[in-house]
Amino acid sequence: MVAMNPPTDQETRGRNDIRGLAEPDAEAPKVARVEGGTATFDAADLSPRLVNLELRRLIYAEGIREVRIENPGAKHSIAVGLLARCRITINGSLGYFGATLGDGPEIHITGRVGWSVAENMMSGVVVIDKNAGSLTGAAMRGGDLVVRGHVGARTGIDQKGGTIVVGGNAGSMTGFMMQRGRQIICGDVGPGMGDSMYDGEIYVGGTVAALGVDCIEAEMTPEDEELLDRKLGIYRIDRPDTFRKFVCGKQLYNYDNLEPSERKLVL
Amino acid sequence: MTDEMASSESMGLGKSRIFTPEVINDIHVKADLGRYRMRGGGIFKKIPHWDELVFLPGTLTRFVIEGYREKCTTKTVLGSRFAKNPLVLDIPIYITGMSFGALSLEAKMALAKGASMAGTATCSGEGGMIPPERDFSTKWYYQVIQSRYGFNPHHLMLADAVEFFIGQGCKVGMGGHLMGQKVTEQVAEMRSLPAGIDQRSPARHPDWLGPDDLSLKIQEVREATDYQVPIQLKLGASRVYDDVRMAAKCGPDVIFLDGAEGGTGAGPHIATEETGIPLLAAIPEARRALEDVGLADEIDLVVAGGIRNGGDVAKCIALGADAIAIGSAALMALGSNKEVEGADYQGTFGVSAAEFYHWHTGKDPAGITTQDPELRKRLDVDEGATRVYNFLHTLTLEVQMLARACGKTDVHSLEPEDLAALTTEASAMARVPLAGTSYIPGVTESQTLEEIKTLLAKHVANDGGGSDV
Amino acid sequence: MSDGTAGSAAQHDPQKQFDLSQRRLTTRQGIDTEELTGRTFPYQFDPGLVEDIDLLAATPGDDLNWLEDIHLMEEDGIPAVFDRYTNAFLKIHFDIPSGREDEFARKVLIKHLQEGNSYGIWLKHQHAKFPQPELGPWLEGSATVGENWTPPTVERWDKTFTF
Repeated sequence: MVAMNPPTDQETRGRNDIRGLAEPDAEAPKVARVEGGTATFDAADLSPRLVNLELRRLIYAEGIREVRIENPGAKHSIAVGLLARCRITINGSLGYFGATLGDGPEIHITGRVGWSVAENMMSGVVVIDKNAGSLTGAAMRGGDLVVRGHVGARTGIDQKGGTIVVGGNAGSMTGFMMQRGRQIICGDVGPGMGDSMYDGEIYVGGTVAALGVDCIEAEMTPEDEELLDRKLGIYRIDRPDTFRKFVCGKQLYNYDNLEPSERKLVL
Repeated sequence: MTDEMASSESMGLGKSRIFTPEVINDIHVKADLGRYRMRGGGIFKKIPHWDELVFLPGTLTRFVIEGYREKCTTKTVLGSRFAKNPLVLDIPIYITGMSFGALSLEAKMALAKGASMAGTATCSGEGGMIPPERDFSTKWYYQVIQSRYGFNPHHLMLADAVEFFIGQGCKVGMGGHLMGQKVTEQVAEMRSLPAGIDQRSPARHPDWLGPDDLSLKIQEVREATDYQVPIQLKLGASRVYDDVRMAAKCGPDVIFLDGAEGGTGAGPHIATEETGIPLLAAIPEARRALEDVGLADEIDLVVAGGIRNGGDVAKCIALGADAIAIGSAALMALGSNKEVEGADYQGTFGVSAAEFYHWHTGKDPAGITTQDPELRKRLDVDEGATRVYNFLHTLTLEVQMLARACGKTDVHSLEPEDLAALTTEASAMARVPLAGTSYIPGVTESQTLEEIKTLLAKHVANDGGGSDV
Repeated sequence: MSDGTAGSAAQHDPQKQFDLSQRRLTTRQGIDTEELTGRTFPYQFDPGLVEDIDLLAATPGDDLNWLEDIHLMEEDGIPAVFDRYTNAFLKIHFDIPSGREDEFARKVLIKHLQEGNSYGIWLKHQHAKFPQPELGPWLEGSATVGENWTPPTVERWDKTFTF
């Protein structure tokens, strides 16, 4: 049978996938300059693989705690899976899956990010100075994720812990299926907020277009105010005068025994 | 003269094939419940299955291999495309992902130990890593599943292979289900959920939506794992040709196809019955897709779904699978659906042990699909592991037996040519000839059509189509 | 239960912190650290050993970071903290001053992690496949694991049959 996309170069085919993303055999480029405990390198000509290898070399092997990356060029999968305490400044923007799967790093991104930033973060701090795409902080388990600008849809989907702080507005289905943790949205939130959430709190400073299934408003407590003051203070974000708090209505915990009147909730 | 009020016995009146007593009972149950019915297990209805294929062993036209004496290799390597450490299995069969939560700790341990004894792998399933399972597993898949329950990048470092769960054959298009009675405090904490809830896992991944994002997600996990371990995509068998083409282009090392015959710990009855296509139809489609994108030699194919014996395994391999994963059969090897001391299947569930499908209730008398401390005592890990090992070993012997009879010194050399079909349906789906003929429905016709087209084209070229006739 | 355990950890970890022959699993509902590791840890019994833990210093950022989601729970009626790195409960046997429940739960957990006693993390000695710090998120300069990975084998298991 004739291949629809016959690979032209046997060697290339063996080592790269069709999109050219796979780079199994690379080695750390060793291009960073280290001055006063801070390493700096330019990512303009480096693939994600090389950037991550360089980061791991510096942080894991050299024990460097401060790294600065110039010209990240909105590359995907940068600074992923770092399981150590360190500070990374990314001077520019990242593509998809930026700063994900981390446990410990404090990462500052001065530009924008694509989808799924800080996905499954265990602990650490990720600060994005401008806007973030959709699925921000997906399945996050701990730590602080701060977006000073706006975020797209489904922020904190499947969130399992930690705090997501958004200085601007958030799109639709914010907190979709959220399980634990906190979201502080200073601006307005789109429709379907907190849809099917299990637990956790969503604080909104602006308006909410519409609540999702089984999300209800709750009373603000002094502890809630303390949290808002603390988080917004740490990240120097202007605090809106009033916040409203939203939580899970817990009507869908046991679909085995929904009352007849509750059944239409799930349609 | 006929009497319309007379007994219908002789006339078959009142015996609807549409509204059977079972169907009527189902409607009554739903009218009481007000929701779909949940259950464990796999598909109940009749579908074309492996029973409808047979092997064509060597006689005079093929040279057979001496059973028990001459070597017939079973070693299976998965993921050598990009992974620095491909998964090397001693046998072409491993234990598929079943969650801790759906299964008891003892069941997970026994499966892991049994698999390691047989030199093969197990899989974490949904819900995260449990140390006793990892300890017993010499080769261990860690699952990246839609819910990401308990997903921990440190545990990703413990993996020998990573499986992206995209769908399962039993309930294609749906996430996992775990009923509240099995969501204990331990299970809930692992998954960051409130205890006792009926847990419905998401059906979509939280951080990617389509194949373009998936290829980036694969890149992300490869970056995190330093390309050390294979990346496998698990798909429920549905539009297999298109799905496998797309999956292949996302850049995985291995593709896992789960047929409609696959089981589940808990799922809606309607979904287990009505979603997905049988494995014997899926494998040829997957092979065709891999050939068409030019990656047939690069990407390995693992299949699962309703595998019961070495014959099923051998048929999967012959149709083009590199490895076969088992789930339901492994639980049965452990002792599921078996009369055990203290069990009262009839009294508790109203069915015999063999018909027990109540894995979702968490009351499994065999201590396997339960979190109940008392029931779990009935499953001895070491005994269970030995049974699992024995079963895996037997499956392998059976595969070898059939492979040798077909003249193969490596089980992976089995090919479609070694098979014949007993029904036209199986023949059409598996694309092997109907026994005793060279006829493959669909294939034969299109070949004939091609021949006619070629002849016509020659005819047109030779005399301008005979327009002056 | 130790026979059949996959293992080549001893060659990687001279300390051999955990002895699986001591493992005593029961059919209790949760997975308990003491049953799992077959041992206890002094800081489960003595608040003095964790009192000085600086939670702010032990976590990224300017506040408690991930520990905000860690709370004192209960197991078998005994206070316990859930260790998400092992997926097991760690019991706290000392009397916790009232009003400081979460604080002590967090301090015990951090101590447990910093000492390298979280079993799920210790497994990296055996299974990590490229060099990385073992306790990087909690401890500066921790040991490197994953430098010489070899596939684990089944200990004390002779295959009666060969294929």
